[in-house]
Amino acid sequence: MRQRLRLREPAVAVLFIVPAFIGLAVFFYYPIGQTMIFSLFDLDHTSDWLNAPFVGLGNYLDVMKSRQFWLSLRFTFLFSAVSVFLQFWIGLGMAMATFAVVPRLRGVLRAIIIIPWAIPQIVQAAMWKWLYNTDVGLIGDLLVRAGLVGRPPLFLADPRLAMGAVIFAYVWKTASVTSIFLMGGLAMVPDHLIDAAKVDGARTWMRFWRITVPLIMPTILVTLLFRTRDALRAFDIIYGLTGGGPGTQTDVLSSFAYKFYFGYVEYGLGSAYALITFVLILALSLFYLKRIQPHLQFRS
Amino acid sequence: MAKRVPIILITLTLILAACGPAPTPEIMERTVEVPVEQTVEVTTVVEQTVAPEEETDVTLAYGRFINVSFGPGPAPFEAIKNAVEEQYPNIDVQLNMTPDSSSAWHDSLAVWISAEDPTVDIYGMDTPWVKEFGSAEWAVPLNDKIPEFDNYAQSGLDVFSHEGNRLGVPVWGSISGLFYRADLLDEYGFEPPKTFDDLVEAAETITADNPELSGFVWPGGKEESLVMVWASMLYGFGGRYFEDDGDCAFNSTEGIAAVTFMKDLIDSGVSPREVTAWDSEAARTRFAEGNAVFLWHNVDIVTWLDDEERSGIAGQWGLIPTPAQPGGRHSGVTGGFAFAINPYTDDMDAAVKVMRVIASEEVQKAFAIAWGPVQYYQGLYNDPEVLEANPNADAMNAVLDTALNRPPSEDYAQVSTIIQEEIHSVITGIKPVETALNDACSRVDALD
Amino acid sequence: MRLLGKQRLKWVYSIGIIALISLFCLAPLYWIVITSLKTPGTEFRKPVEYWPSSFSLESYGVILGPQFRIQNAIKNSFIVSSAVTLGALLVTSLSAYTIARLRFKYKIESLILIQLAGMVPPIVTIAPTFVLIRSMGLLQTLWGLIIPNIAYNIPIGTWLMAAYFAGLPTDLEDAARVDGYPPFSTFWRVIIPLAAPGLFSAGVLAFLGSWGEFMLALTISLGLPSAQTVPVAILTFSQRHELQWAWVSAGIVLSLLPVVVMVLIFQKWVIKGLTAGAVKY
Repeated sequence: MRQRLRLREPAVAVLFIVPAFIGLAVFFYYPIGQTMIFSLFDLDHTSDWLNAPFVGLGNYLDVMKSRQFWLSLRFTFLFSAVSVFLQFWIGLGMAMATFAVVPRLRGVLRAIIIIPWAIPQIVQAAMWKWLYNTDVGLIGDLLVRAGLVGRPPLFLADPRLAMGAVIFAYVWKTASVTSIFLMGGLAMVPDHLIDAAKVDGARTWMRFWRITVPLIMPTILVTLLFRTRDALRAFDIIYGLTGGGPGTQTDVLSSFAYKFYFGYVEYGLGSAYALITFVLILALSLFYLKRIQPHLQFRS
Repeated sequence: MAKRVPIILITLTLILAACGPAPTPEIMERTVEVPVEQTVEVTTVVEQTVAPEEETDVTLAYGRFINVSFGPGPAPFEAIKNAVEEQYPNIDVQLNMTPDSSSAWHDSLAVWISAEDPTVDIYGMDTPWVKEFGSAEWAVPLNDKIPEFDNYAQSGLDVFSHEGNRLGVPVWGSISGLFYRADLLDEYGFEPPKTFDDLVEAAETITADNPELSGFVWPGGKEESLVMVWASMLYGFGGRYFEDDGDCAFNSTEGIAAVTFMKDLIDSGVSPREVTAWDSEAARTRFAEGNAVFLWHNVDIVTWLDDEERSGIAGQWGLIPTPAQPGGRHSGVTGGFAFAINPYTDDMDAAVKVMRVIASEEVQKAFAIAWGPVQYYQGLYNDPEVLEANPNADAMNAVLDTALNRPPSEDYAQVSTIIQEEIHSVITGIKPVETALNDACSRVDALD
Repeated sequence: MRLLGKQRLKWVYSIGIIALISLFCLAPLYWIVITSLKTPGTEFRKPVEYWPSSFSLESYGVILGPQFRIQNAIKNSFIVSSAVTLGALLVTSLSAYTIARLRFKYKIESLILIQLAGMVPPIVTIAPTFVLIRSMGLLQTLWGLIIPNIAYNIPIGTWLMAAYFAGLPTDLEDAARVDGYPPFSTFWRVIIPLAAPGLFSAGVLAFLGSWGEFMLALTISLGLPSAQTVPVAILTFSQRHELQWAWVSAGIVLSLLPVVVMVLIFQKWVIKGLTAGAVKY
């Protein structure tokens, strides 16, 4: 009996994992390969690469020469850096707040914090469009009542403001997620260490920096990795809120490339843009992972 | 047992004998005698069984305006439905609404057609897309399918033709012009402006005295209409789209002057800063409510500017060709829509039938009454009902010969985006004029 | 007495914190709900009304009515998300088990392959997926949405379930092995029941993830109503009826209700699921 089981297990292992592999092959690896192929052809108003002229790296050269590409690249980085920064601090604040309140209210606070995360990104885009409305939007009105501005600003039409508006809308949802990630990390901090520090007379700030942060550093690093990756590939909020913004101010790489596929119907160029986006994200992720590796312990 | 078998066998044999064919020479002779007339009857019977045709759907794709009527008649979609109902009761016409914005509308069509999707059979097409859709073979050539074309002004059909293929049945055409407040200009002693300088002078003087008014309103939002405004300014300042060798000429001296003018309008306050977020509807509302001195707009609104229920300035307005600087060209930018057939439709037959109905006088007249001028069906504007619904239609004659098309291109969607982005970035103060126009030209030249 | 005072202070302090965070998290929602309850047309009144001067459920009527039928989109979303959840749980728990527990030569490689896939931005795969679904004739169908979404869930789901499985005690499995159960049986009868909380978390995440998925839904539905999910429906409303904010707000509220309710009920599992990825490595 035992002999037979031992023999079957590897086979079963393969069997169990095959569906996942098939899924990955059909919906990830094949499309990546196909996109690579598309990028090598001049595909104007068609996806039929078998009958299209081969241009090799021609599309990539066009991409490099395109000012719009560099602008959208720049904004993608700006968007990611600022939004991750804001997400982190707001999220951390909210996460710590859940530990600072009376235990009975902790669940209530957690529920409030999690709500923005539940709302699909594109629905949020529609929401924020109304919130940012120049005439009667909530945000503009609040600012006017607070006396900070004379009249409601043109959030989405004023190029200087549109970037900030988009970032803030994105942060609203993602601070929620970040907060949850960090809550998990904070929950792992053993109480006795905190209490010991309290007894020793350490003040709140000191407690935070010297004890809590080092303990949750792995969580922080992994959270930052995930959040940055998501920010780099953001699409929904841009597409729904500004469609790329006044001019091309708020176009990020994903929304920019999408237009080529489903607006101009230029599969070749669009694919070149998409792949460059991918390579960037991949490179950044790997670089980041290498840097933080010493701080993490990987399970073998 | 033994006795029953023979009886069964005998019975079976008798039955078989009775049922089986028993061809005898006699019978064969009889079948030959069948008269010819009977075969004719058979064919008429066959026709009758085909006549009640299958119920079929034809789906139109158009923006929400197809359900809107600005006149005393039914909205165009209703008119189309009714007309189709009369002629082809088995065809049910459905509507699929596309987004308002021309670019979003274009992208929807691009997605459907590149998806080879048969859901939409007939779709609305905007004037500047003709070259693109034509070369991509995204519209079915209608040349020999629509005999009604014989009744149309050829110029109207040419707008929607590509390399000899007629791609659309036009339902509405327009030209842009300059509307002005005749009462205010009279009061302050100004003639209707011929040049842009005249316009600015008049606007500034009048608004100095009446600060609640806007001087000159126009659609400056990042929309297709911005491309049209820009085009009329470009040519008005003496510029053109392309040089003779095909290179982009947006950034010529004249081109720069034109866009600088647009920016100055906003910076100096002659145009309120909100124009950068406005579409045509927003701009015309401001003018029609009596809050602006000048308006850049399509001429079709002449038919209701005197209607006191809808306009606050009845009897107080005028229309002239868009101004031009000395050396420039008065330019009214053309626009308009036609219906085209999706090459991937699953019922070409029904689609063509519906197209013929749309091309018929009845439906064209309905468009004329619901939406106002211009339709290209000849003789339509002699019809008393049409004239009654469209007073002042002849006021448009002033601008008819200033017609200017938008830049012709197979990649019009991209050209339009480029122009929209660069011009919008100038009027919102992001980019200096020269940089933006140089960028626009390098981007346009980079397209194949 | 001193304790009571301190407690009271803590309560006041807590309420303050909650109020502040609520302002950030809930104010936007409040605004949308209020707008949806205003009579259409009045949402543009100035000065801005924080409480409707004229209440009306008209917008909801319009949104549920023949013009929009948001219930259609909600129904589609439910069908898609439920199917995706079932499919995803099946596929990911099987593969996660292999990685976490079974004897398999290529565990590290598999993990890398799976995680690499998770790093791919959707824009890279969207065009060929569109072409593939088109050639399968599944454009504008719910299956065209369900199948790819199951695949999209594999990276997160496998990671989560693998982490969870790895954390389970091995004694039950060992006992089953000793008793002669074949691995498949062990999986079904022993592991799955044990892993119920993990499955639940993964399930909730798969449901919510596919509910909010936008790029594929937009592309596959072609913007036409027959296979629209909620996100796409809301986008098309807001594009087509840009000025009708009362209506759009009503649509937003209705589209939010199912997910917000779900998340509130299943908070615990959601949080466990999300943090398992970050915390357990």
